[in-house]
Amino acid sequence: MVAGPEVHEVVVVGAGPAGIRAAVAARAAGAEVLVLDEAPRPGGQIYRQLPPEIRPRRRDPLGASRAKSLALLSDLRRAGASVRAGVEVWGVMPDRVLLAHEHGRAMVLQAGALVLAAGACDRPVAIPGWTLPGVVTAGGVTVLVKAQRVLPGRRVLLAGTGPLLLAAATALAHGGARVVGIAEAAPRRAVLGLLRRPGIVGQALEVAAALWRTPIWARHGLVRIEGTEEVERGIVARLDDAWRPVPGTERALDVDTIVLGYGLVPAPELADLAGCTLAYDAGRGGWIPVSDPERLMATSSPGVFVAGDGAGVAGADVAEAQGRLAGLGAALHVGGLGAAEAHERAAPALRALRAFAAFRRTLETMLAPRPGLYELAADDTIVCRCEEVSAGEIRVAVEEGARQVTEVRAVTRAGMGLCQGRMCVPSVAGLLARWAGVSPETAGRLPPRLPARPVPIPVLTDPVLESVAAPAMEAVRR
Amino acid sequence: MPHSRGVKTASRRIGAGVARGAPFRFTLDGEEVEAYPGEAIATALLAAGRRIARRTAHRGAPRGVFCAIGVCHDCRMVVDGEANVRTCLVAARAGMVIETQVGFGRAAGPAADGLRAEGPPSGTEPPRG
Repeated sequence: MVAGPEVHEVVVVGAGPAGIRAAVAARAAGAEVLVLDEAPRPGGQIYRQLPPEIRPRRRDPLGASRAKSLALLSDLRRAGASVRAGVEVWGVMPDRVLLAHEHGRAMVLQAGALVLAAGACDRPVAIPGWTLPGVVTAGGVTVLVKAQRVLPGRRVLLAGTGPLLLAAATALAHGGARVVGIAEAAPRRAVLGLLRRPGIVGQALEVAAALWRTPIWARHGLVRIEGTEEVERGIVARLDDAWRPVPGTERALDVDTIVLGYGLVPAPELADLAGCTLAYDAGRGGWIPVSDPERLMATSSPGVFVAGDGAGVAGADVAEAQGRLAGLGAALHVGGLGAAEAHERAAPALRALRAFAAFRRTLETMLAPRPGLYELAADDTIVCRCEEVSAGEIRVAVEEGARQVTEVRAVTRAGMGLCQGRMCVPSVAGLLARWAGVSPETAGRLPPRLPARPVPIPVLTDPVLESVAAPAMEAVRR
Repeated sequence: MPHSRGVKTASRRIGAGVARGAPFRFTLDGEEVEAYPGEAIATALLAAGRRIARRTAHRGAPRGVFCAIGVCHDCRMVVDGEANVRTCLVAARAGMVIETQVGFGRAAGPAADGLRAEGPPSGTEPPRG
């Protein structure tokens, strides 16, 4: 006889700023809380900690955001939530049953209330040459430089839009890389509009100090990457309002590394599996679970709350405020506190969210991808990195009638690989718009499937799953 | 390897601001690479300027670290004989045997040459970014 699932009052998935604030708020309301994160240490991608073996010195030019992350982490420790790092959640079943594994050992957890704070990853953009070694994402380069202290190369060109691009450039400059330039698709006034973020002054000064010699080309974008075995150069051009390159403005820059930072795409798979209604929101990164701060970040699925970039990309500070609300919502759901009390405690976080409204409008205008971005792919440009499906193959599928990303996948295999479509589906949707005028809503998304992440085979055959999840496991094995 | 290029000293590690432990070594396709405690395999390889993690199954195209957070799966390599290990997520350890991965799991080193006939041709087409 196999034991049933491990039961917890509140389970928080993701220990970034949103998840940590949710855990702290739920604990403060008296709920018992378990926090799960796939990384070895809490903090999320943005506050990813150095490994313990690499110790910061007193003067550390790359440690500027450390005060914020230390405050978060110490609040988490003091809150008395159990934190299990190194746990990957790969499924959600009805009634908030979570399927997870810890280094290949399967786990089944039952949550009274569930907070999904799974974050986001960099938007994949199929630009010619983007598969060459030496092309890295803005989020990825930030992790490499700040949390691993290594440069992916020496001469770097950055291209994309939004604050993460500047953050990545700042980290690279502090780390000693030669930042050749930053091609920012948005106009200069949008870049300056980022200064509307409350509390930005210190950070803006840091960016300005690090990048004062670095050209920032507003309304410019990368049109192609060249190289044989690795990156050798990037071609940038001026962009019009639709992000289409202006003919005759191309210029080649010899670099060994190119950073792509076209914003983030939320990871909605777990919310999708949990039965939450999703909606498409281009300015917030794409498909996101529908939620409402006034309803404490509740979704359409009872007892399931969302927060952070996974609930719509808006950055770490908004994530913290949403996390507080979601934690209160979860505590309220399990009876840890009353409705009046919960809403009273929610007031400061709701005020904080209102203070970010102007900044978020700027951000959403900057980050919503424009049509020119998906017109860069040539027929031989790889779109699906895993299955090596080219834009030309997708064009043929569209010509033959495919109108949804699932139809493109069925015909071309784009989205069938190990990344489970995370690196190609946004581009496939963009190409459907390019060649058939298909709206993102019609293009749709890949349906949620178990496992939501690739897991070691022994996890799927672990007897612990049989008692609680037999029907679903049948589906997985089919 | 008889003609080993040895440990690359022109490092891309960022020295300022942190203190590292004592370095150790592992091998990449038979050549020694230096790593420091706390580094992922992919990190140590980037620091050594070795950016090609694998070659794709159909086109033989080179791939390396792209997302660095375990999502894209492009930094997959053969680690101590186990294929498809995301090297951005796994810590480097002394004496590890790392191999450039070909396709879905063969190593690219000389030992794997005999296996090439079984799989799709590799390295025969120019990389098509």
